[in-house]
Amino acid sequence: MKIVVPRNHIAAVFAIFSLMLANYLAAARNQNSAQNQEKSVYAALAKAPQKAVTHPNPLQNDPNAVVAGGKLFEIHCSVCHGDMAEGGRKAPSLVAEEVQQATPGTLFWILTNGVVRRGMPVWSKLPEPQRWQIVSYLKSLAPLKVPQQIREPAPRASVIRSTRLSCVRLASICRFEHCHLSRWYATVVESSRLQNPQHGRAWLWPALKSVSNRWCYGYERCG
Amino acid sequence: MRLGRLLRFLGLVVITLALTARAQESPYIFTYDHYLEEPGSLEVEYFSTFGTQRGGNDFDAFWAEFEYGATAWWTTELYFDGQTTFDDSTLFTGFRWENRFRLLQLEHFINPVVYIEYEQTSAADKILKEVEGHDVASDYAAPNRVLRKEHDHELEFKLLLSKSFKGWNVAENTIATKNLTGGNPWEFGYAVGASRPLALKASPKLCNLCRENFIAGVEMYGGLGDRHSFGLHHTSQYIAPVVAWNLPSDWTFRLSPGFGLNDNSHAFLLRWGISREFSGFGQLLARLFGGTKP
Repeated sequence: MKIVVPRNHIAAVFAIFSLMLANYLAAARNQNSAQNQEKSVYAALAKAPQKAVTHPNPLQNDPNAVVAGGKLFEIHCSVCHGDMAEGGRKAPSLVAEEVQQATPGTLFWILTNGVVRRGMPVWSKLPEPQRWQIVSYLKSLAPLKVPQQIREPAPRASVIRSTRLSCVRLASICRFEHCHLSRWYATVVESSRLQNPQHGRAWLWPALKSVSNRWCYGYERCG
Repeated sequence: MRLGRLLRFLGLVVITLALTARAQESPYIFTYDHYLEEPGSLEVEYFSTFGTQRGGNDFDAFWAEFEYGATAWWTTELYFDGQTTFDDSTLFTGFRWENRFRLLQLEHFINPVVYIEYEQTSAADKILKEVEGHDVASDYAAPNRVLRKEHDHELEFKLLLSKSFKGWNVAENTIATKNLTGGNPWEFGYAVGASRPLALKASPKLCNLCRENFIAGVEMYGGLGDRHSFGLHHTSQYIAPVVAWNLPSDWTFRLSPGFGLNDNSHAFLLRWGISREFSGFGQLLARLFGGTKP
């Protein structure tokens, strides 16, 4: 049987897909320029409606919510936002002040609706309780209060503060497999190297190892 | 130079296979919900459909899917189809190129997605990924050597409507197909599905058999005739329970036994699929061609 495909159909198909490609390229260009404007990355937080902003986290008192949220973050979010939520090329930091000061309801709204124009997909495919668990985890990433004895000397304390780890975060890490801990070491060392280029990696490693061992074996006491 | 670039590309593909991947897939095999692939992620899937055939040999049709999230609002997908008809032969039956576009940025009561697909297949294609028009089981009874001679060039459009609420997902697809070969009329079909995870809260531990890793549901699909004879007359209709198992190790398994609801349908279809999502594939490609630095 001879196949006859009308030329106008082929032209229409090509026109449609050319349009799609042009749209895609335009969106990619917009996304790149938007990423350069760091502040506007967090503008979506302000778009949450008042009803969503004031919605309390129903899992606020759930003792497992943060750890379960950490697991979900690791599975679904860390690939873009980084293992430590420190941000990456594709997605902003979630330990930034803008995020940490946002209400749980705002974060839940962002998770549910995504920021499609900027490349964040909607996550309403996760059931509501799982989204609240992720919110619990994100809120646990508040800036770290470092114990006095490991705050000195000054460079070490600045390194630890820069990682913005909370005890709860450590608890979730320590409950995971050892590979996660190794990744945490790598992230901390890298982040401190970037922030303190004058210091080498050699002196840092034993200090961090000491701190993380201390917290991982005794994180229940963190408070 | 070209060979070197090709080798680098193959090397990166191998590295990609070792990357961590993220999966939270719906259990549907036929129906689409409104969730698109995450931007930059590549999902590689293999599906199989075993079907009983009245008046002919049973068959096992299979297809590979490569689904890529171009943006948060556009997912593009390439299919390669094949089939084995028992006591007959095994054939490559064609390819499909599918695109899905999210229309609205925010979540709404109903979330629409537009689906556009071009397919070039032979009549021997039996994957039954779409059932539309007056497709009936007897169309597939002829031997492969006869069916393979007929070729279809089709444009297919779908309006995907979906809603997630209290852990449930409900999806409805309206299908319209135009065969570009000859003067065939527009054909129509539908699919509806509902699904829910077995547990809504995640457990704190990493586990394979946690209830939240399983999503169960049901889907129903069939033809709605064509422009000249719209309706259920001389169409095939199916109902199929579905279950998906999302493993933390990044694999997803799907299983769906389907049952024909009338004499025009295949009496039984057993579908299963395995998939894995590779996050960061787009970034790897960009690095390969100098788009971004690691």
